Amino acid sequence: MGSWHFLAAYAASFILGWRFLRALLGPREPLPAVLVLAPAAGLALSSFLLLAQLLMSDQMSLGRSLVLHGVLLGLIEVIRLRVAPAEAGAKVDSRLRGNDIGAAAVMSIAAVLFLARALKSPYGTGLDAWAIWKLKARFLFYAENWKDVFSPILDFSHPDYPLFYPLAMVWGWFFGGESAAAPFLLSMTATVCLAGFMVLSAGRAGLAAGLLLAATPHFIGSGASQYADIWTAFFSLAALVFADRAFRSDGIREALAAGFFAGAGCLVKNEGLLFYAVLAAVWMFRGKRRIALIVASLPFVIAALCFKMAAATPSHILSWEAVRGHLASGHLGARAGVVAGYFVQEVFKENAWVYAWFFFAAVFVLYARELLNAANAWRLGVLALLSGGYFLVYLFTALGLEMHLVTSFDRILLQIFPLFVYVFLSGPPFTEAARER
Amino acid sequence: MNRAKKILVLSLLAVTIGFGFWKQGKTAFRSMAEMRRPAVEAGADARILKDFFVQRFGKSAGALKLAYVSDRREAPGRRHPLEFFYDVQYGFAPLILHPAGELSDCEVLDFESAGERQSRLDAKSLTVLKESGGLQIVCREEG
Repeated sequence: MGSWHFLAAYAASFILGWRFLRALLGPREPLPAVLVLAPAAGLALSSFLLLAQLLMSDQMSLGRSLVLHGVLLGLIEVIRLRVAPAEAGAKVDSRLRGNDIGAAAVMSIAAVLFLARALKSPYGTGLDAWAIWKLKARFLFYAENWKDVFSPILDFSHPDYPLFYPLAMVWGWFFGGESAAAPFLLSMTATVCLAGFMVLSAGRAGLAAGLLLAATPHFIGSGASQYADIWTAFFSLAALVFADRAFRSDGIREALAAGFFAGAGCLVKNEGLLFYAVLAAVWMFRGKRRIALIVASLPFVIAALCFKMAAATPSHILSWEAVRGHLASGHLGARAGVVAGYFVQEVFKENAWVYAWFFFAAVFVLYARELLNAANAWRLGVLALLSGGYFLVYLFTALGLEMHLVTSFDRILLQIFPLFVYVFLSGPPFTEAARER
Repeated sequence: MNRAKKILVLSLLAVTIGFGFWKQGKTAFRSMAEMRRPAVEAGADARILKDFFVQRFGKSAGALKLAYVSDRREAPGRRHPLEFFYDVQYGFAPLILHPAGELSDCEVLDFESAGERQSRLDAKSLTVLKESGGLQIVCREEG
């Protein structure tokens, strides 16, 4: 599996993420939540620093990256001391709660299930792990000109896809050369920490939510496949959880955290941009602290847009010509039927989703009134808009519809699955049950 | 009514979680069983393919680019043969390195049965350039 020196890179990212989240969320944020979020936050910052080097100077190096990490860490500490000096010496909330033990248990289960799958196929499963993510990482790592990654010869690897995941691999490889263990560890971290974060975030039913996530074969399987979708799911969930907290408390810290994670998702996949647009749109109508959301996400969104301009390659999936063609074809109804049929076919796959989608449907049907009340409706709105966005992409895709569905639909569902788990297990009837007690 | 609804929802949740772990337990045991299969000689099949491409392009200007698509990792001793699928993906290498098409008529055959393979060779007028284990690099016959 190659050199293990990449662990030093990921340790540096973890420390950066940890200090950043401590500064952002303050000492009252429970330690376990910070610990499960720190790897993702740190890797988002590390990838951002690497991407910024590429965009500004067309080159990146270990030395410059280390300096930038050090400077950013120093800035975080200085800002923390300047903005909230009283917090510097404040006692960190490290009390152990019931959900913390539950989170540790669920993370252990997820880790065991992940390892059982991933050790058999340590290089990931599925073509895209090789043909998109690791291929891009190798280009970024070895190429004299990083823009080779946009070569039309490599159009099968979707040159317009953002680079968070390949850059996270390259960041590790800087320390000891290319190693297949780096993406293995990245995927395991995302899978296990996402399950733990679910337990810590979903309130009274947190343990059940985490267990549902870990019990879903496609969740663990997709993590072990070493695709980027698990990272999209992670950042989307973190953004939704902090948005939920921000809406309840009007807290600026939560709004900033929601913006940070939603913005970070823009660097992972194009679907992250869709999630960001959906959350921002809902926020404009529903939430306060709009500026905080925008400010915290702005560096990532700008980087993502600069990347798109640098890529200068048209999307293979969406084009105006394809949209116009489909509108003129008169076959939109039939295409919508194909997408809907594929959704039905997918949710019946008990080897992938067990009965999770039926559980969501049952909760919605039985508790529609409570779920659609003023406090919860916006969360369903996010799910509906996101699902609608995916539906429209399929409806107007420039690719063959069947081929597009076959190659991506289960992964699209994976990206939104944790959001469904969170929305349906952190609201009625579970909160109602908690109140009755 | 409320109680009945709650029981229904919680039952569905419990069944989903229980069934999911049962399914995953089975998958995990199957995975572990696969890992206990006799060790495959380290990357033997993939190595021959890799050597072929390195020999073919090693001195060319595209040699560095080959590093992008070939895999420098050490193949572990214990791997399921299907894992080689990912190694032979650098069947794409000729297309990437030589878009003008010097080797664009070559392809890699892997999981076809012997019968399927022969009928494909006959139908497309392909000849076997290199064979290793279950893998073949086949190219269109010249002339």
